[in-house]
Amino acid sequence: MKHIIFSLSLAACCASVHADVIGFDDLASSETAVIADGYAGFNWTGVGVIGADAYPDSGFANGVVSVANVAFNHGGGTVTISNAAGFDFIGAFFTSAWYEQELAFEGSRAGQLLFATDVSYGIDTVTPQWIELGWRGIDTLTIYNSSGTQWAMDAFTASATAPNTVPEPGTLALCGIAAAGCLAARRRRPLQRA
Amino acid sequence: MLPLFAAAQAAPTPIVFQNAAVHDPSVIKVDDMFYVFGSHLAAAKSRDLMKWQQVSDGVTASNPLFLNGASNVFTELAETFSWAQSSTLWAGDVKRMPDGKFYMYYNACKGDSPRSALGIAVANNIEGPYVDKGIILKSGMWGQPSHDGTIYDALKHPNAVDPHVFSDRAGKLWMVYGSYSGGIFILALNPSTGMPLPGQGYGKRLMGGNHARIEGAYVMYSPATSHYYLFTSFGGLDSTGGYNMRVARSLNPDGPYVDAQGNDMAAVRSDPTKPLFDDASIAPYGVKLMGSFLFERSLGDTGTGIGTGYVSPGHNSAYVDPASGKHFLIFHARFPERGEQHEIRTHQLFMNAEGWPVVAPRRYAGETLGAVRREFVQGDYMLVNHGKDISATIKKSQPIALNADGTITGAVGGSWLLTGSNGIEIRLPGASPYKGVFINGWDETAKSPAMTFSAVSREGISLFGSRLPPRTEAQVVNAVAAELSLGNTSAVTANLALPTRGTRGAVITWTSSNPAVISNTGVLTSPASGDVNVTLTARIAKGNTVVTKTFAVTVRKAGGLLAHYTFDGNLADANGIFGAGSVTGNRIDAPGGSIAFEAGVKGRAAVFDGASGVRLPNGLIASQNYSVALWLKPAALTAFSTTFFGARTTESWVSLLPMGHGGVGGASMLWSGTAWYDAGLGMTIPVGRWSHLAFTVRNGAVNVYVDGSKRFSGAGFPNVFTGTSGVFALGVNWWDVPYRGAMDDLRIYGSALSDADIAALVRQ
Repeated sequence: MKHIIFSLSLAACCASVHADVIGFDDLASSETAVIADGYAGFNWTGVGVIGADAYPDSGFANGVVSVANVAFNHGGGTVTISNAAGFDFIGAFFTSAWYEQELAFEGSRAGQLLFATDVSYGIDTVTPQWIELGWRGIDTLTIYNSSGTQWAMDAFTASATAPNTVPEPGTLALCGIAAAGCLAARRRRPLQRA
Repeated sequence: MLPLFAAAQAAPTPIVFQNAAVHDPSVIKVDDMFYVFGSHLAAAKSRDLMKWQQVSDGVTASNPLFLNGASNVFTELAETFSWAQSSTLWAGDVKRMPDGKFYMYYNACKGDSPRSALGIAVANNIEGPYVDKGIILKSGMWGQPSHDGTIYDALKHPNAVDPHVFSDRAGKLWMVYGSYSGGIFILALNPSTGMPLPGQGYGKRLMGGNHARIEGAYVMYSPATSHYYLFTSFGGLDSTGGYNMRVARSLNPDGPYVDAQGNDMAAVRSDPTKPLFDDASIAPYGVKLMGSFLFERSLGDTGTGIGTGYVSPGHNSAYVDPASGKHFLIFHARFPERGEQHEIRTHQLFMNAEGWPVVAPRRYAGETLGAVRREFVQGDYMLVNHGKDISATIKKSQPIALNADGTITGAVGGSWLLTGSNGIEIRLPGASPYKGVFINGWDETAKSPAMTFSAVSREGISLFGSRLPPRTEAQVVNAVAAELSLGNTSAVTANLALPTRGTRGAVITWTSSNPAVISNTGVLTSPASGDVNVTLTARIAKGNTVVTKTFAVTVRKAGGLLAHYTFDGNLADANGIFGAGSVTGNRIDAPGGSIAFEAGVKGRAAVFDGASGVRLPNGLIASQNYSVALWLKPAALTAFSTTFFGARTTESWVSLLPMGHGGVGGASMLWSGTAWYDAGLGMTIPVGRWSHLAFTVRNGAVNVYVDGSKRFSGAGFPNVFTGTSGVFALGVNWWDVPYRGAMDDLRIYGSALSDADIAALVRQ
C-alpha cells in the first residue's frame, strides 16, 4: 500500500508525462532468477531482484528507496531494459552493492543510438543516488558499470507516453526535479516496511 | 562491460590473496595446478595464481623435493655442491618431458664467482622425490678448457645457472640460461632425453657479456603475435640493486632477439674497460617492463598505508593459457619499506598494437580484458613512469588527469586516445607514442576495483596508470583535511615534517602563529626556557577550492626530560606532558593483560607478567636525538623479548632486549630493524637483580650503557623516529614473547645525554 501511495505521489509530481515508478517490491527476492520479460511492461535483460535483508550493510540494503526490494545487475554485468513500444526514461536511484563505482548509460531506438552519457555517474554503497536522464522516445536503455560488480536500482521511473509526443524541453526537467524532490523527501523520512 | 572478476549473481567473489616466498619463480602447470620452482629449492603451488601454498623452502636434508628414503638433496646432488663449493641451489626449472616425467634443471653456484654446475634430476611426481641424472654443464673451471674447448673466460663464457627449458613451435627443445659473466646463452636439447645435443659447447650467446648484470632468462612464445619473447632481469636482485624486467623478441627461438627499436640484443654487453658493474652500457637496451615503483597513497586517498608497489621485481617466468589466451608474468618482488622480504607476484601481460608486451599495473585478481567505455577511463590517475634506468630509486606515482578533451594535465602534459575497444595511446613530449591497454584491476590499497592502463614506447619505457574515483575539488580538499595530522604535538622538541602535498595534486601550505619558534616549513627554534604554544594553520588547496585546518603545538625546550614514567603505583607521566600508558595483552595491539606494582629502585616499580605490556603515547620521540634510560629486573630471559620498544612502522623500529639473538651470542642488546642494526652489549643483564640500562642517539651515533658504563658505541644507527606518530610500548611488540620482570624509572630525553649524565642517573 505504501508503495502505491509513493508511486501515486511521484506520479502527481510528474502528471504531465504519467511517469510510472517501478519499485520491484511485488517481485520475489532471488539471487538467481531474472526478472521475467513483460514485468511492468518492460523486457529486462540481466536484471534480478533482491531484498534489502539479503545482505545487511551492503548497497542492496542501503539502496532500498521503496519498501523492501531493489533490482540489480546479475553477475555485475551490463543490463538492458526495453519496451518495443518506446518509453521515456526519466531516472532511477542507484546504489553500488559492494564497491564505489560508476555508471554510464545509452538510450537507443530501433537499434539506433539516440543518447549516450559522456561522463560517468559515481555511486557509492551508502547513499542512493538519483540519476536523472530524461531521455525521450527510446525503446532500449543500456546500463554499463565501471567495475563489473553489482549495483542496486530502485524507483525506476519511466514514462509510458507515446514516443511521438514531444514534451516541452523544460517539462521533463521540471518533472525530474519534482521527482527528485518527492524521492528526496522519501529518503529523509523512510517508510516503515509494509 | 564484462564482469571484472568472477562473480556470483549477487555478490562478487571476494578477492583473496595468499602469499608465498619463492625467489626466481619458474612456472609449470600440471593439470589444474600451477607450480613455481625457484632458488634455494623453494616451491609453491596455486590453482588461481592468487592464493599460493608453500611446497618447500630451503636446501635442507628434509626438503621434500629430494627426500627419498635415506637420500636427500645433499646426498643426491653431492657432486654439484662439491663443484660449486656451495651448499645452496640457484634458480631451478621443471619441465615435463614426453616420458611423462618431470625434469628439474637444478644448478648451484659459488656465488662470488661463476663456478657453477647445472644438472638434471627426474621425478615421477611434480612434488618429487627427484633423482639425480647428473651434471650437464659446468662453468668457472679457471685455467681449464671449458665446454667449447677454450680456456674458461668469465667475460665471454656463461655462468651455468638459472635455466629455462622450453619447446618451440616445431617441437625442438631449448634451454636458455646464464647470469652476468659472458651473458645469456641458448643450448639445443634432445627433446626426448632433455640432454644437450652434442657439439654445441655452451651454445649460442643471445645477449650480455663482460659481466653485464643480466640474468633470469625466460622465453615465452605468444600465439597472439607469433613471436618468441626473451625476458631477462637487468641489475642486482636485492632491494638496492635496481632489478628490473626487460623483454626482447624474435621470430626464432634462438634469436636474434631485438628490442622495440630494433637493437640486436646480442650486441648488448658491458664495456670490459670499465669497473664492475657497468650498467650504463646496457641500460639503454631492451623493453623495460617494470622496475621498482610505488602507486603512492597520498593524503586524502582511500585506504591506509603507503600504497602498493614493488622493489626490485624480477627474475620472471611466464605462462600463456591456451584456453583463455591470457598471458601471465610470474616473478618475485620485494616491497617498499619491507627490506629484503620477497613474495611471488602474478600480473597479466597484454600485447600492444606493436606486438610488445605491457604488464597489468595491478597484481592478477581474476580480471579479464574487455571493452571499456570512455566515461570509465577518463579522470584522475596515479602515473608511474618506469624510465629506462637501472636504479634503486623507487619510481613513485605522480598525479595526472586524462581529460575528456583528450589532453593530459597534471604532473605531465600530453594527450591520450582510446583506441579500439580497450587500447590506449599516450603522447608525451620527447618520446614516441606509448601504446598499451586499459584493464580493470584490483587496487590493494583502496581494496576496490580500479581502472588501470599500461603502455610502452618504442624506446622501451613503460607507463603504469591507476585511476582514482571521481571527486570534486571540494571532496579532495576535505578528504586531505580529514586525514592531515601532525601526530602528538603536546611536547615537540624537533623540527616538524609538515606535509605539502595531498592527493591529486592538492597543495598544503602552512602558516605559523609564531615563526620564531616554528617556521612555516616546520623548522623549530628551541625556546630558551619553558613551553611555547604555537598554532599551525594548514591551507589545503585544489584548484580554486580551499579549506584550512589548525593544529595546536606545544614546543618544549630541546634536550630536556620529555617523559618520566616512575611506575609509582600507576602508569602516568610524572613529567606531566604525555598521557599515561595503557595496559595491553601479549602484543602491542592486543587487548587484556595486567600490570602489577611492587617495591622498586625508587618508590614502586611496574611488574610485567610475561603476557602483558604497556602502550605509551604516540610520538614520545620524534627526532634523531634522544636518550632512553630505565631500570630492569628480569624474572626470566627469553630471546627477542623487548623492554622498551619504539617504531615508525613494522619495518622500522628500535628494541631494547635483555637477551638478544644468536648473532650477538644472546647478550643484552639494542636492536633496530629491518635496516638491521645490532648493538650487542657483550654481557647479559642478570635475572632477579636490578640493572640500569640506557641508550643515547645523536644523528646516528649510538651509545648503550649498563649501570652507567658504556657497553656499546657505534655509528649509523637508523633514523627511526622521523615523525610525531611513532608507536611506543614497554614489554611487548608485534611479534615476540612479552617481557617478564620488573621495570622502574623510565626516562626519555630529547637529546643524547653525556656519559656523565647517564652515570648520574644511576647514582640518583
